[in-house]
Amino acid sequence: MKHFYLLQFKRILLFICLFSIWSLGFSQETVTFSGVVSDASGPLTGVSVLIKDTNQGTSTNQAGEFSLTVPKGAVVLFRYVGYTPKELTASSSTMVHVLLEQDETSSLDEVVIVGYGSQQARDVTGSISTVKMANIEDQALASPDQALAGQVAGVNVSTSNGIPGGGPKIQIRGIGAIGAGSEPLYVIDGFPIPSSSSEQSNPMASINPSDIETMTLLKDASATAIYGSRGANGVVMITTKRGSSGKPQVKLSLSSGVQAIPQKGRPNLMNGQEFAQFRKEAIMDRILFEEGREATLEDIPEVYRYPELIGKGTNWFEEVTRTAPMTDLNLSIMGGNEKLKSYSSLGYFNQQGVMLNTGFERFTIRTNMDAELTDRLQVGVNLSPTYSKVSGGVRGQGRDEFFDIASPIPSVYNPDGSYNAYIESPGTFGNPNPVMLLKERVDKTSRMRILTNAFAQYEILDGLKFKTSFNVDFQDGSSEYFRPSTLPNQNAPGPSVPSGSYGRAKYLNWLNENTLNYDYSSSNGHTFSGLLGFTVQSQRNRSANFNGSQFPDDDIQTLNAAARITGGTDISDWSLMSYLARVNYSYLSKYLVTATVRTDGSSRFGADNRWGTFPSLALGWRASQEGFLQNTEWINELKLRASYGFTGNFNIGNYSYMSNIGTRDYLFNGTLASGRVMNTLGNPTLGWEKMREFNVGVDFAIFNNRVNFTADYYKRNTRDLLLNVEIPSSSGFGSVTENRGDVMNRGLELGLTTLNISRDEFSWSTNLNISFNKNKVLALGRSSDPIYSGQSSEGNPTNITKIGSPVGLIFGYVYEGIYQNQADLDRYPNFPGAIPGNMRFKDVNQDGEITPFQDFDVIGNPYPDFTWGITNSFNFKNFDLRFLIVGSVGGEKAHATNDYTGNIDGVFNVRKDIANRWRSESQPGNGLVPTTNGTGRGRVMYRDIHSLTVQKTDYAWVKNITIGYTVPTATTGFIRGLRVYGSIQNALLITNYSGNPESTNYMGKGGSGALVPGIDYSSYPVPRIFTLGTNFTF
Amino acid sequence: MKIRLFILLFLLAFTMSCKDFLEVKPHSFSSDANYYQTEGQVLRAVNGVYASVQELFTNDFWALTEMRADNTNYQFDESDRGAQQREEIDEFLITSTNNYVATMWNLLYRNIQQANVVIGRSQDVEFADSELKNRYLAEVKFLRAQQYFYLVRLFGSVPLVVEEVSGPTEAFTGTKASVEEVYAQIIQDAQEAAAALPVSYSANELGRATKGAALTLLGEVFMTRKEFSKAAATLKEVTQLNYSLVADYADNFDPARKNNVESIFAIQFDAGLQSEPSNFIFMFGPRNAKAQLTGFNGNLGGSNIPTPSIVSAYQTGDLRKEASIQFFVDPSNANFEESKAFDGAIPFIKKFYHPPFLEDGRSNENWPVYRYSHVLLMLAEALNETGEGDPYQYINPVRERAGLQPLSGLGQTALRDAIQHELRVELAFENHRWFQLLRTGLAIEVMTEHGKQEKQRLQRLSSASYEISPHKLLFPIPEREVRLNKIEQNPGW
Repeated sequence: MKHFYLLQFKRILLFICLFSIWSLGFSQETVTFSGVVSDASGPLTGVSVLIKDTNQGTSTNQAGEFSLTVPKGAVVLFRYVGYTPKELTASSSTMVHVLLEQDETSSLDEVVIVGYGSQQARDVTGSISTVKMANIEDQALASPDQALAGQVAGVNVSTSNGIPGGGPKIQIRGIGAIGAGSEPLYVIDGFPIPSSSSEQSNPMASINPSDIETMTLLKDASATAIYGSRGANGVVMITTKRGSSGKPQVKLSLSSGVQAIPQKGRPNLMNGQEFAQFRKEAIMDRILFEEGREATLEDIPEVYRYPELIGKGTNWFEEVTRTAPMTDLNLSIMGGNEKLKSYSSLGYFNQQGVMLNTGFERFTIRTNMDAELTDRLQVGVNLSPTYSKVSGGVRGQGRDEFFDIASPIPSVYNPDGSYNAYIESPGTFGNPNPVMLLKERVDKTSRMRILTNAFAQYEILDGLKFKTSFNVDFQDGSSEYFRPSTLPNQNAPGPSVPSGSYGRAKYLNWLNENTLNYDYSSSNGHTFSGLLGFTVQSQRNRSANFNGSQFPDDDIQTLNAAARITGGTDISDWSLMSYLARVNYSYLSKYLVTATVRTDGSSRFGADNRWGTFPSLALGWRASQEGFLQNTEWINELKLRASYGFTGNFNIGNYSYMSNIGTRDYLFNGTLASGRVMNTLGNPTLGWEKMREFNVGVDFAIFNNRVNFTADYYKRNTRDLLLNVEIPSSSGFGSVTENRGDVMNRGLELGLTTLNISRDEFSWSTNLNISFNKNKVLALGRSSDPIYSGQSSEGNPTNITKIGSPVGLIFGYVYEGIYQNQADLDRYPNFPGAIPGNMRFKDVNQDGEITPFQDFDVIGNPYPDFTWGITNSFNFKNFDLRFLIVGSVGGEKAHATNDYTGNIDGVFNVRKDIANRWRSESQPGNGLVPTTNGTGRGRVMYRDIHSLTVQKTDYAWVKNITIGYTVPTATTGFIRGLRVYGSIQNALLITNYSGNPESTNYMGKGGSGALVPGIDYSSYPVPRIFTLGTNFTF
Repeated sequence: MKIRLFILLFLLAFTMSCKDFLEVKPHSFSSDANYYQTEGQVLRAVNGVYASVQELFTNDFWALTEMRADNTNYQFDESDRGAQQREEIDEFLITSTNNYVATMWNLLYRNIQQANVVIGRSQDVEFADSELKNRYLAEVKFLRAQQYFYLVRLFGSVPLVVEEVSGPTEAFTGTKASVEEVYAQIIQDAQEAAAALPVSYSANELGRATKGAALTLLGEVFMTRKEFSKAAATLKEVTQLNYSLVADYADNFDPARKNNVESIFAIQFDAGLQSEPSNFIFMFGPRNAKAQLTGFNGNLGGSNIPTPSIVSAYQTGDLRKEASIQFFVDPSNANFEESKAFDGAIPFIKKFYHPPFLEDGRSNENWPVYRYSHVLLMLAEALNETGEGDPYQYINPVRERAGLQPLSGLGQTALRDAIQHELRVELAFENHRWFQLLRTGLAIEVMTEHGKQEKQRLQRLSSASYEISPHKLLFPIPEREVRLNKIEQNPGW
């Protein structure tokens, strides 16, 4: 630990040195005029502070502070969008406090980022939400997508895991896609990047959240249709910080935190004594049942004879977890003049994982520059290399990583301090020691990513601009893995044969965009803007994966030491060519029309179906501008919106439409004979997944803009779903990708932002959003037959998708009780070999016998009725307090860890409640756990999916609490701004669910994707993070 | 002027050729649009069918054909219950959702599709030597006949697909062909194969299907259909093809003596080639014997373990017992109920045990599909049934090699029993036993009696096990197939 902090310190020093060299280029002038700018609710960030009638100036920092060197007696102008400008005279070097007042039009003058441009908020006709970056600043976030939680209605962010370098699952407006990817499209500074959020190894984690200026979510088809075949899952527009004119501003922010796993949601398994008792009783029960006699002490293995002597034993979950540190350092410098502006930043982020030997480390640099070469020609460049490292490869799965199944009786270490490598008790699986596994296994990946773009814009005529940009996203990642001989394998004591692997994955994605923009306003109120564009984008992926086995020893862990190396390399490509156009028209700022169209051609689709066109139309009416409302003072804004449009989803494999001829070799007389086989069934008609959406919305602002209300209702149909359709195996194939089916999502999104209290020294504002979504399958596959999906540990489906129902309802046996005696067995349907004490499930198909999965029924609905998020912000003098709570009501999940924590064969550790199982008619237990006796099938049925494993997931989760203090600048000398804060991430979870209510099946165990929702195979624990931080502005 | 220039540039960009830009070819595999065009590609596709069939034998095919019958069961390991559904095959407790049965169904039809692809796509390929093309087609037809012969015996009436399924719509047959129709196809394929296949191959082609292989398959088809005259005629042709018995029975399984004079058709394996090892001992060895038998850590599969029934079936002095079964002796056997019947030892199949093993999980044995002794015994049986010819000339060489006295002068029934016994022990563990019981009509009787013995010695067996009702002579068609293809389930399932 000491070593760790020393390392941190060295890194900080390095930072400061680098920074000092950088800032040498800038120099100073005469009188210093500084202070704080705030409004009724607190400091204002980004207020421009200019010397009147010049372009010289600066803007306020996050604490609202500014400092400007001015000629003595100059008039300084404070300007901020939505506020009345203010002027002050700088007579001497003083500190001032400037209070700005909101003007009536307020947020409507905000500029909103939309696809291929920006718009005044008042002119927006689609469903677009901007994430208030101020609401999420100072949170301990590894990636920008994490910041979306609870901010915007209609955006569902599931913090499914706490894997360092992992990410949340993000879904906009319900289940849009079934067979194709369902993550939204990310557009960074206008560049639609090829990767999206991912839960285990998140590409978005290579973006430093502190470089982000704004995030905007495009939700309805009118907003996303400009992204055509990639818009169906919604679009997240990220705009990074850029330079501003004025005195250079340097910001340094440091934060460090401690992460700890909360008690809630931990596995509730037996301790040593309880497990020994369970095994002892099970053996006694078996002997009584099979041999008809009472067991003697000799029948019981020695370890289990006296459970009370064992005590607590080993809690493997506690052993493989820890409290872990986290550090985030950022340094940025921004400045420039009217002609040349630049922003540069350095970032270092280090999050060690709460599971042993896991961690994520990231170094980022971003630098950009915008130059106005002539009045008509602007150019800009942006370069952001990122290097990140992930160690661990731990997914948090208690069965595969053994910590939930290992016997709790053996100890972690031998008396001599060495590992107790092989963990077993009589009758249990022998497992590798989970602590040793995590610590001794080498699993590292590293990634270099360079995101860069350059553009030039030329104003050909007044109002007519031509812009061309070139963007590149390049990533080069490698991974190495080594499993030493000291680690035993499951059920194989003693040294194992070492194995290792090495992988490399690179991609290069480039995009060229060319657009023509024309803006025109007539003197009589007609405003017109048009966009015409042509883009080409292409990507090449190259990968190599090599596995080495039969290493002679653990000394050399690179593959050259392996006696056998297998593997191969792969190259794949895709390309996309598009034409796009948009028209915005408004009359008197009252009647608004937006029409867009994009035509995409994609290499991913069959030649018969290569091009798709995606049009949309939106209308808006600002009723508040009409004569009859203009005099109603308490109404500031009332806008009605309606839109209709089409988008697509191209997230399927690069070559899905082709039939794949692969290699399968044979041999004749000991000599290899090359063989080729047809691996997949092709489908030359494969095409776009088409989404069609209707949206109506209303924006309402009243009481001097202190209450802002937004509501949207949408109905979206995803048609021609890219569905991996099951086909009869007698065809020689299991499935084929087809465009089939129709899923409808309907929903209502409500957003309410209020300034509840606004006094000089105290203010309170609230941002509340609620989303309702229902999905329904309208058509499926080639027939009306349901689709069964997922796979339980016993090989049965876990989800069912039927026409008329939501996608992927949870599917399993329906618990009715336990057969108490022979009379019960005679009375109720059962299965061959059933005995008293077995689970009694419902005979759904009423054929008199319980059979998987003919007797499965719908046992749960994974979709919440609604989800909500609320952010409350308080300011009192220099203190600020903010907390974010998110929640969900009405969803259910199957806690599928029952497949091992409910395995009563005696081979794994089990849940504590198994102690209350049925042992005899007179000892029926709690009636929820069956006997350990009888055929395997009885025990298998208990660990298979059934209604007892389904739980409600209603929850409220306090995701963040931040308390900050802005140090008055007068007391801080050369530092122009200083803020200190403390925050708690994932502070409190209130739920009756036994695991993480936001968990997803990110491991893909038994199938993943939209067809397998609500199945929780456990996940890497989400830690509570306590952070302390300081932001300096120089 | 400037405006025009810009608009021109812009329009230029619009008209950029897009055709090539969107034509993206795969690099790491071929697409069907450009494969099956040359002789070499057809050859590799033919090899691909063999390679597909090969996977049946490293999978659980033995569970349906050998462990289902009375020759083997499995070693029950309390601490590893993962293969419950495979054990249910042995105990006649399966349901139509059994994963192992479904996997076999999938593999058999996958192999058939590969064969159909080759047969269909090679039609238009120009060959310099049309004989060669005919041979390739005959090899593939033999393999297709073999797959259907397995299917029809395991599942009865099944969908009959003989043309490439080239799109999603064709994947649904909606009906099953009758058993008669399936056999008609098998016989046609086998006859066409027998007509076109060579009697033998040059050394570097050993392992390909031969005329003898096709005739033996055809002979077994006729035996199964009780068309004994046709069977006798067909099998007699095989006796004209220079096959003979090897002197030492054990040589049939010895990796050093692969493709010998007795081998008519064997699935090829080689531990030295990356993708081509067999894995038999790793599946069939006693669970607790891995370190002793193979030198590696961990557990063996504990499957396909010889039962007391087969162990005691060998007559005194039968040399084949020693070559077929080995006993593993170890104190840890005490944890396994199976060892009680063998004085603490656990038997395992020796035919597929040839140490040493250089790498974990990789063994070197071929799998014998047809051996000449099988032909001789079937021929003896056919002659005994038809009463035309001397069956003893065919059964006695097999017995004599095994160190047993020749038979003579038995009545038809006694000889029938003797031949059935001979078939059982000669071909034990070679995936023939269940088919033998089926075609002779002995399955219910033999398995019911076997079940009684098993339940007596193994207390863990539930009373519901080994209830052999007639419908269980066919496996259930996998639930998925019935559901998707809308075909009728076998009665009783």
